[in-house]
Amino acid sequence: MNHSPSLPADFSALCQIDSCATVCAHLSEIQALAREKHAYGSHSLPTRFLRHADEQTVIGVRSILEAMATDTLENSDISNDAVIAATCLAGQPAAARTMIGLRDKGPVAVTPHIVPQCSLHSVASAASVGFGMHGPNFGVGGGIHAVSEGLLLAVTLAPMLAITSPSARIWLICTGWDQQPSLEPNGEVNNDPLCRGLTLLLKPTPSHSFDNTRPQIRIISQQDSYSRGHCPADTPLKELYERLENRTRTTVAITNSCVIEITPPKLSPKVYKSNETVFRKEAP
Amino acid sequence: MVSKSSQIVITGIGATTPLGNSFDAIGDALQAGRSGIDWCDIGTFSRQQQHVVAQVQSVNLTMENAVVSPSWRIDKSSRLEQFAIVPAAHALADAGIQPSSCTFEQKNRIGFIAGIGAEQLKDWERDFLDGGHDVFHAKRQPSLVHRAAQILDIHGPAATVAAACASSGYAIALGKTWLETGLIDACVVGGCDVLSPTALAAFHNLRALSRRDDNPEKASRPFDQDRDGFVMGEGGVFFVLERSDSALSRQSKIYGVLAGVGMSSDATHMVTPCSDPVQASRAITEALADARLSPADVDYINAHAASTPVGDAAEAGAIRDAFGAAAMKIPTSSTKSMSGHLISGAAAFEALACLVAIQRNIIPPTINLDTPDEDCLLRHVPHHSISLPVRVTASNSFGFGGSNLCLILKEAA
Repeated sequence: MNHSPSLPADFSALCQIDSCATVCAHLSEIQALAREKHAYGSHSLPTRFLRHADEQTVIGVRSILEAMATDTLENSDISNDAVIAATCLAGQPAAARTMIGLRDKGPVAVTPHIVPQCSLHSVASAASVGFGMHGPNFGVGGGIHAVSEGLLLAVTLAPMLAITSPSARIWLICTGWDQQPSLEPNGEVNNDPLCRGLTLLLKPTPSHSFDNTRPQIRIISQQDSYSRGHCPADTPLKELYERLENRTRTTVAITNSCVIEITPPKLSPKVYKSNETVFRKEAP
Repeated sequence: MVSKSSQIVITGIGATTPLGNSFDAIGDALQAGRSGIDWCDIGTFSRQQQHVVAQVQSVNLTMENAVVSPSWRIDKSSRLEQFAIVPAAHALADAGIQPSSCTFEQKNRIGFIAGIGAEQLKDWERDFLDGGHDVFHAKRQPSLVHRAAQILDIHGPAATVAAACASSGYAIALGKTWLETGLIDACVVGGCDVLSPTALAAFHNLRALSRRDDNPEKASRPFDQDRDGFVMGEGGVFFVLERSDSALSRQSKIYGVLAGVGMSSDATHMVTPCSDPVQASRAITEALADARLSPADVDYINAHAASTPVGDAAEAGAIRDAFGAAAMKIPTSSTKSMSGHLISGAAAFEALACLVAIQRNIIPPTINLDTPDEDCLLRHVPHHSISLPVRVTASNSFGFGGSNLCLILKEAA
């Protein structure tokens, strides 16, 4: 095997960041948020599309819409785009309710929505189905390394996507709770944690196009990184979210020898409250 | 990017499945058309005491040189952990990679991608049914792939991916991209899943499972006009992928070449397969293009066909669309008729079935295919395996959420 201490010289994995958006909402706000109209420009979700969705799916979808609003390519064709969703411990409240139902009332009480709506692929599939994106869609992570796994898989999918669909981009959605929901034995939630969503819209880019003044994301060896003090591989979404909001160039460790480096664009964070009008542009 | 002349090859296989726990044992079962489906007791809270499922009968670290951390106890581990760690350890040993004798840098260049669709749900359920409260107060901990990497002593990048029933196929496809970009030198890829009361109930309530309770071995009948749903299975299958130059320099045994991958999404429904074959067909076409092969080059198609009325017909349409005139000439079968549906592990199991076909020059059959559905016209291989030269295979996988995948596996030169 290769004995090189870092990535090979010809290693290539680079994406331009066309848009970046963050949103967050408390658990108590999410049900109302799910019922709102989900649309931006010509892109809209079918009515009641999110009625069975997990909380992280709702937040993830809202962050996609926010990213659409700041996309550098106005009215772009997203039909061949890929979706990767990196979630952390999604589906917990629904899982608890389902298991209580299974225990108390038997299998008849198990909702069939638990599999399609509360699995690791659910956020990515909802985005693909909802917005009509026909590129690859898959979920990533599930645990505390979700953010770094999502970044890694997005950047390494890029070279393949650049060949199969040269105009396609990658929607990387990261979601997670600041604190996990805490539930009573009857399944009622007794706290009101904040759920965060971050969407990076990535354009696969040839490695020779690297420009450290532009919003980009790439994998590099630790020794080639501009910054020191890398975020660990189990970095919580909250930390990455705050760094990107502050436009801080950030590196996230992938292994002992390589990191993901993110040079973020300017973004406008969105904190949702129910009944708030959130979108500045609607379809004519 | 790594040199285009270097191919991605499979140098190690590990499996824990209802049809056996080794490449040879599974190959024997597939060649004989033997079913792994039976009545099984899957524990408390089931719809009934006995279910028709494809269950793993035993799981043990049997392969010589398969090494795990001494602190890992198989008897203290969940079934999901066992189905990930044991076959992954076997795959590494089969590839002749012993992490304990690798340098620090070499360990950093062995990656791990596991296709596991609902790990946390399965963990919470297991704990809850044992009287625990993890689902009420979820613990933030590394996911199984990271724990497994530690137990196997490999320290390259690791990730869990999920595309429902195509999960392990996505893991294989993404492992190929990691090797092609030069990120790593070897990658453990595959997936696993376990039978669970919640999943059985959910799929039953979705009316996705077969309700033929009278004769378990007859329940899974892909492409048959009397099919009525799939049979859930469990197990784990993992491979070691390497670049061919690296494998040849180590003088590794090469089971086959991962020549092409194609991925697409229907983007029509969260559950129901799309009746329009265009996107499923696109995944197949992209895989063939990635492999630089034409439809007529393919000697065997391992269909996803889970035995559902809608899904099998949709896939037959996609195969006819992608392969054109060749579709009626290429032998096609669904090994789920024997293995059941391993859910997250299904695509990896079926990639293994393709390697069996290549190694043995046989086409595994679709057992129980008594009367092919006229909506599923293909060149079927019913009941019994047949002997034919097999150099190139295509393996389809489709999942909830409209995820489509095709892997092209071919004979090593």
